Amino acid sequence: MNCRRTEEILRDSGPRDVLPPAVRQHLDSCPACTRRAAEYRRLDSDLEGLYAAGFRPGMFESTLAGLESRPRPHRRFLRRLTAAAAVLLLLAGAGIWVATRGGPPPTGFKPYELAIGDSAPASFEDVEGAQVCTRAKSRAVVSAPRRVKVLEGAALFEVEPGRGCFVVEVPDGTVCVVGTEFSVSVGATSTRVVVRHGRVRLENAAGRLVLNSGQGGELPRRSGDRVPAAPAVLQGTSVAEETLWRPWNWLDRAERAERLNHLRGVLSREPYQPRLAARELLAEAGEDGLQAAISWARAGTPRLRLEAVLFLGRAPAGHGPAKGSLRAVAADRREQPGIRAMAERSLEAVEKRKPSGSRRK
Amino acid sequence: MTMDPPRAGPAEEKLVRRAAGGDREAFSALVRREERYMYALAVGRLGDEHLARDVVQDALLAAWKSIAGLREPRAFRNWLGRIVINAAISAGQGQKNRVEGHGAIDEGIDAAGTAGPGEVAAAQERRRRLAAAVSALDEGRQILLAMHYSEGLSYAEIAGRLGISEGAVRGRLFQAREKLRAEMERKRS
Repeated sequence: MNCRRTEEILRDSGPRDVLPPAVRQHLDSCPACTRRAAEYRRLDSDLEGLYAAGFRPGMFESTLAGLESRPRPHRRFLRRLTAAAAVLLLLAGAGIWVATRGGPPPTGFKPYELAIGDSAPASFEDVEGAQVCTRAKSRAVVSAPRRVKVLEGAALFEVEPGRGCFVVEVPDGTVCVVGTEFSVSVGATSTRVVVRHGRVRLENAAGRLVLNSGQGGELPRRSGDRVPAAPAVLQGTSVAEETLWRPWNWLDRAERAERLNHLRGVLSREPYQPRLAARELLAEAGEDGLQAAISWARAGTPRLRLEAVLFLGRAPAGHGPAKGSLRAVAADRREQPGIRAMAERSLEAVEKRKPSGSRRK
Repeated sequence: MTMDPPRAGPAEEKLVRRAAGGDREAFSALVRREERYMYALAVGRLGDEHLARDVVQDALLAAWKSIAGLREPRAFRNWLGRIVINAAISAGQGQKNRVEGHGAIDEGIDAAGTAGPGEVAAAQERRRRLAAAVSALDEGRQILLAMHYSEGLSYAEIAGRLGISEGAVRGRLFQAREKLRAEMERKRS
């Protein structure tokens, strides 16, 4: 066995391979090859260490638990549904064409304005097969059956499939859907649309754009007599971000997980102002927010851990898990000193707080 | 380097179909098998265990959202790996703007608690350099390294899962290790 052949075998062997006796014999007598072998073994061991660092089996269980089953129609059924929807669209097309060009609504239908309060963050209404959640201080009118005009503010639509086209009109164009969930937000210079599930089509005088799940698009505002720019895809939009105004108690399990995950991202990475807003949204989540903060206090980026211990300082006096988490962080010698100090301060704040409903003797 | 679609078993294909139909339990069962692999891809690329955890969580949510669009159930593992790598690339870009040294991976460096501060710092630095070298490799080699060093799969097992020859696995891993060794050597000198 010579040095060249030994090196070939060393390069080719994995961390758990047993070296042939001839190679071992050569290594015993060749310091250069022994050094080279040590280098390879060190690289193997470094790679194993790198990949194992921080891994715990089951560490993503809480994320998985936050997902919600969402039964989807069978493919064959979906194909039939698509065919039926196509026929429906063809039939409904002429009607929509007339209606979008100012045609009269069907007889017997009386347009009405959605009752949207100013004090609650949002209002919720069932509008002919679609659930509409409108942000406070918005204005929306049900102008015809399965047709809503959003004049100001923002609204989230959940349209049941199989009941034909549902049209949302905004000052900058129309959004036509068959069965999906999406939000529209009327802004100062354009209308933003973000699709949660399904597909929607944006239309204005300049063109059309189809948006799929998770995509966002924009209908630009007409300026004077000029034709507006065609609808365009908005990069980097997120449904969670666009619908942060919806109250926590109206979100389903998947949406709650999505919001917590969004807040986690904001608290981990964003500058001060968005983090401040995220803390307030987390407070809205009540016990869920505290539980999230407890898990983040021990895992995540240092910024997230710091935000979590800061937030846990808001816990009620009798909240044992929050206090336990803060104690653990404060006592963890591997944690960064700044985070430990913040945990101590938060713990002090929680312990000083009077239990709600307590009376002085 | 491109990878062929992996050879998933019929049971796994069934789980993928159920998950694509919205079955959360099926999706959970699938990703539980892959959690070590997903984490390894993220931590190998980022060199930051906390960020890697965040990235895998984000990737899980993204995968759950988009699994209905997965046309080829056999490609589930590659598809999932690509989601993790893309999420890690995005997170890595954000990480460049943050203060260095936060969340560095130090777990296991001084498990016995006997090393001095200098030794621990040197080992941390070496691990950081190694993670940087891994992230410079192409996606296919990162996947091979994660399968071999994190999951402990043999060349034959990797070949079986990826649908390529054992010789190809051996050759690609060899090239990956050589690149890493050369890069570590270059940085040291």
